[in-house]
This record gives sequence, C-alpha cells and structure tokens, in this order.
Amino acid sequence: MDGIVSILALAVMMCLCSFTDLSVILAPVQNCSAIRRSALIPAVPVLICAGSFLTAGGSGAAGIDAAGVAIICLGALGAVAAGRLISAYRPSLWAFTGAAAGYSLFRNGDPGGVKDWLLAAIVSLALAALTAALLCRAISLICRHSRKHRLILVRNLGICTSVAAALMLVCAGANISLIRGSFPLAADGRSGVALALAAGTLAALPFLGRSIGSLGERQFDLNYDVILATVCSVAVVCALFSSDAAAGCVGCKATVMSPGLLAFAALGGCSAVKRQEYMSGAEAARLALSGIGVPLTALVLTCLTLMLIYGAGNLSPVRVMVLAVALLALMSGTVIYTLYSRSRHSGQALRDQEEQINENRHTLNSLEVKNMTIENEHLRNQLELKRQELLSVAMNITEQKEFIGRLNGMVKQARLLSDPAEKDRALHEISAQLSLRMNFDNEIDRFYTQVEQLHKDFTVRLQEKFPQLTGGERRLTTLLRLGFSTKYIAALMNIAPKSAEICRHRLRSKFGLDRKQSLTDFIKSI
Amino acid sequence: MFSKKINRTIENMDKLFDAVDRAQLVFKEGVKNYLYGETPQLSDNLQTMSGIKSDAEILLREIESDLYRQSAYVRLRGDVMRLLERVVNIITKIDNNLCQFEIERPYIPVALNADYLKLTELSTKSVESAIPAAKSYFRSPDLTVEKSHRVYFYAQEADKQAKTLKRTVFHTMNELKLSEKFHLRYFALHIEEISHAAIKVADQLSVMAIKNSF
Repeated sequence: MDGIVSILALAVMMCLCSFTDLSVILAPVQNCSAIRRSALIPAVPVLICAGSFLTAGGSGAAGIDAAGVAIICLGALGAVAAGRLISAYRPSLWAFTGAAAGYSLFRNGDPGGVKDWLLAAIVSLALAALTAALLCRAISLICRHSRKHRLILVRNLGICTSVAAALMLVCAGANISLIRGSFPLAADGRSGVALALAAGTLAALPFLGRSIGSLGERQFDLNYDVILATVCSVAVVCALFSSDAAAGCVGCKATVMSPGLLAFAALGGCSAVKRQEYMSGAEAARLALSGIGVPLTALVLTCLTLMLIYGAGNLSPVRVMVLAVALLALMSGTVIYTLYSRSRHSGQALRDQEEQINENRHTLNSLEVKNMTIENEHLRNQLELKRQELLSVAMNITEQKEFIGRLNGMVKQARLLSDPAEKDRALHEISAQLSLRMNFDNEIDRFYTQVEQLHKDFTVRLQEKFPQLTGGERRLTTLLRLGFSTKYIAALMNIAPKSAEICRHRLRSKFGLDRKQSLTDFIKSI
Repeated sequence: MFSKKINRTIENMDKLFDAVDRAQLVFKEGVKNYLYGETPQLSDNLQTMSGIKSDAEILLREIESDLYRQSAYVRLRGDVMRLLERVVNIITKIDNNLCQFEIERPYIPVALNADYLKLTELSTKSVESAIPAAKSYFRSPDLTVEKSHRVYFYAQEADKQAKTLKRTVFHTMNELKLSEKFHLRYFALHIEEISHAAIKVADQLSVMAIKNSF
C-alpha cells in the first residue's frame, strides 16, 4: 500500500516537474527546432525513464507511511503554489525534497542532510554557470574560426543540440530518480520509479507545448551557441550529482537537482561571457529567492501540518518556536509582498484609468468642438438662405411693380385710342402680356431651386431609391413632402387640378403603394 | 540526404549572387550602348537581363522552399529570405531601368554621356560591393560589417554624382526644354535608386551580423 501511494506520489511529482522544469529545459531546444513537437511525446518520457534506471538501486526512506507520503506531497504542492507569489518558476523537485526533510525533522528531530543539500544546491548552480560559460566560449570560437557555410554550421549545431538534449533528459531522469530516497519504496522498486516518472511526464506532455513555446519566445530567444552550452551544462551537472562518487569530486553528495534552475544559472554564465543580458537582475533575484524559499516553505508547511495532526512529536520546544517564527515570517513576507505588488498594480491601474479618462475627455472636447463647428456652419447656411429669400422677395416686388407700371401705361394708352380696331389690338396685347405673366416661369424656377437647396438630402435619397422618376414626378414628390395641397401643386406646376390628381395617382403606382397607404406619409418616410 | 538538400540550397544562393553580379555588368553595358547609339546591342542586353531576372526569381523561390521545409533554420530563415529578396530587388530595379531606356528613349545630350556613365559606374560599384559582403556573412561573418562599408561609400559617391549631373542639366543646359530636363532627372534618379537598393542589402547584413553573431 505504502509502495503504491509512493508511486502515485512520484507520478504526481513528475507531472508537476514537467510543467516547472521540463518546460524550462526544453524551451531553448525547441527554439533551435532540433526537436519537433511530434517527437516530444514518445521521446521525452522514454529518455527520462531510461535515465532513471541508471541510478543505483536501493531502498527508499524507512518509517514513512502512506499518510506521511500524502502529507509530504501536500506540503510540496502548497509550497509550489505559494512560490507563485515570488517567481513564475518554482523548483518543484526541491519542494518535495524540502517537504521530505520536514517530515524527517518532525519524526526524527533531524532534517536529514539539509546542510548537504544546501551545499550541493550552491555548488551545482555555480558549476552550471561556469560550465555553460566555458562551453559557450568554446563553441563561439569554433564557429567563428570555422570556414564552413553558415547553413551547414547551423544544421550541425542543431544536430548537436538534439543529441545533447537527449543526453540531458537521460541525465535528468537519472538525477530525478534519486528522490526515491524520500519515499517508502522497496529495494527493487526501480521499475516502479521509472514507470511513475514516465507516466507523470506523459500526462503533462499534451499541455506542455504552449508553455514550451511561449517560454522559448519570451525567455530563451537565444543564439545557437548559447542554447547548446545551456543544454550541455544542465546535462553535465545532472549527471555529476546523480551518484555519490561523481558528486564527491566536487565535495558534495548525490542530490536531486532542479533542472530548471540549472538552466537559468547556465544562462547567467552565458550572459557573462557574451556580455548580453538574457535575464534582468530582478528576475534573477526572484529566481534565487524562489530556489531558497520554496523548499523552506515546504519544510515548514509539512512540519506544521504534522504538528497539527500528531502534536509536537519529537520536536523540542525551541524548534517548534523556530518553526512558528519561520512560518510567521514567511506569511508576513508573503502578505507584505502581495500588498506591495497589489498596490503597485492598483497604482498602475489607477494611472491607466486616469489616462483613459483624459483621453475620453479629450475626445469629448474635440467632438463638442466639431459639433459646434457643424452647428455654426448649418446656421450660417440657413442665414444665407434667408438672405437669398429676402433678396428674391425684394426682386419680385420690384419686378411686379415694373410690370404693373408698364401695364398701367398700356391701359392708359388704349383708353386714348378712338379707333375700335386699334383699341381691340391694344387690349389683345395687354391680355397676352397678362397671360404670359400668369405662367410665373421664373418665379417657379427660383422656387424649385430654393426648395432643392433646402431639401438637398431628400432629393439625393429620392434619386438613389427611385431613379426611374421623371423630373416632374420628383418635383411633385418634393411639393407633397412640403405639405402643399392639390390646388397649390396645380398652380405651381402650371397644370389643371385634375391633371395634378392624375399625376398623384401615377406616382402612387410608381412607388408601389396600395390603397390603404398614404402617399404623403410614405414620401415623408423616405 | 540532408547534405544534398543543404548543398543544393547553398549552390542556389551562390548562383543568385552571381546573377546579381551579371545583372550589374549587363546594365553598365546597356547604358553605354544606349548612350553611344548601339541599339542592336541594347536589345541583346535587354534579353539577357530578362533571362537573368527570371532565373533569379526561380532561384529565390527554390531557396525559400528549401529553407522553410527544413526545420533546422527557424531563427535564420526569416532574415536570410529578407536579404535574398532585397538582393533580387536590385535585379528587378536594374531590369526596369534598362527597359525604361528602351521604351522612353530619353534625349541625352552628348555632353552628358560621361556624367551618366560615371553615375552608372558608381551605382553598379555599390551593387558589386554588396555581393562579397552578402557572401561573407555566410562564410566569414566577422568581415561582413567591414565589407558593407564599401557599399555605403559608393552609394554616397553615386548620390554626389547624381546631384552634380542634375545641377548641370538645370543650371547650364538652357537649350533643353523643361520636359527634357525632367526626363533626364528621372533617369538619373532611377540609376541612383540602384545604389539605394544596395544600401538596403548592406543594412540588412549589418542587422543580421549583430543578431546572429557567434
């Protein structure tokens, strides 16, 4: 039972590790396009599984039951979740190591090799940076002095990166399987561990693609030499810390590494060599804090959870106090950081809001100005029209006066004539003049011109919707819109009222109206 | 199999650079033939130019297809294609210029022949300098920036020569009609444009040298 729970816990851990660590170490490789996404799904779990068989077998931790495994997992998951406040990257493997150390501290009064772990962590990160720096330098020199065509060079670098990535995954698998020491597993449980790691990786792979892609663009948009150096250094360090014999060369013991943190450390080493900033100082500080804070949080959380369930256990009162203070400090730090970042965000949000308000105000003002300009223009046009109207009326009066004066003269002359034939002729001429005047052609033309000017929009709309209307029909439509009765329409169009009625009827049929629909209402709705 | 593909791509790129070299030689010859009234030779130049242009376009499409099919060049292919497109743009400009000479038949006074020849020489020299700069990016990236300087130098000289020529046309040649002066200016401008196209290639090379340096 304990073994099964341990295998499940390992699978969950590996699934989490895939998101936190695998995405980080595979992102620069994907940028090199040495590994297609379709190759990831079979290749990665197989390589990790193969790597886990390379680690020497041995029994797992004794004295941990299934409940303990569950508490370790919960502690680690809690620490990883809390670590989100510090950095986007959290070392999940170290969280599990920290939680296991917390369990050991609670049960045995001894955290079980925390000092060794700390030393290994510092040495591994330094080694990763140094190895990456040296490799980056070497690769740059080789490439610079190579006389091969750039395309061939890039292809070769891509192939080397693919091979290095495969080796890196095997070494990472070998290193990760060291975590078996924290769980109650049988001595020959290597297959179980390997399967758990493979299953955990496989479960995460379908969702990894986007994370790898975005990390690759955001963080790891690097040159080929830097990518190769990073991958190789992670492989070397993982391999070195997978066995006591190899780790002993640098004065450390075999320890579970955080491949993601190693990749970032390698990037730091390459930055120093290339004199380019691949990562900001603030981000590096956050990563370092995460590397220390997350395992520590896991340790504290696990201890306190066990204390809540089982009481103080083997812990001395001093250690309980230290743990409580540590938890308080962590919580206060977290709260302060959250408040600070929230206030910064809210300050930013406030500034953004103010900016938006100013922009809207500016837009509103410009719209108001535009509106007023348009209104002024409209009023000016109206004034102009009124002026023209007045002018027209005045001219009309003058013309009428002249005509009447002329007619008066003609009548006076006709009265003085004695000959009836001549009188008749004179009267006939006066009648002709009057008939001509009664047509009012000029006035009507002027009237229609003014109407068209005033109702330009309507004229255009009518033209667009009913292009088949004749000129006379358009005039009739305009007069109907103005509300003139048939009598006035007849006078203005110089036709008989009966003809005006017929024209109205023809218009109805052209508009396609039935008997119930009002012609005037329809015209007003155009 | 992978070596064959990559070797073919490299071969096509070398052919493309050679095509640009030939194009600028044909252009120089074509302008000389026009100025000295050698119309049959100009027609030959135009035919040769047309052949070079279509070959260059085919090569460009083949290179593009090869680069995008192979997944090893994700970071590089965008920049390389932009460089090659700018290189092919030079050939297009040269071809258009030569065609314009044949179509519009500008009246160029004999007194201006030497100036036009010098302008052509300087413009084509800037193109000639861009080719080794582009080739060196792929073999000796350290020398790219150094070789690009010659392009800028010849382009600057071409600019000066163009201004001198235009000044001569507008200030001293009063016997010419305004339309003729505009026509001469148009042709001077378009010959100068060839050196500007070479500058764009040099700019692209400078950016690539910084981005993808080892």
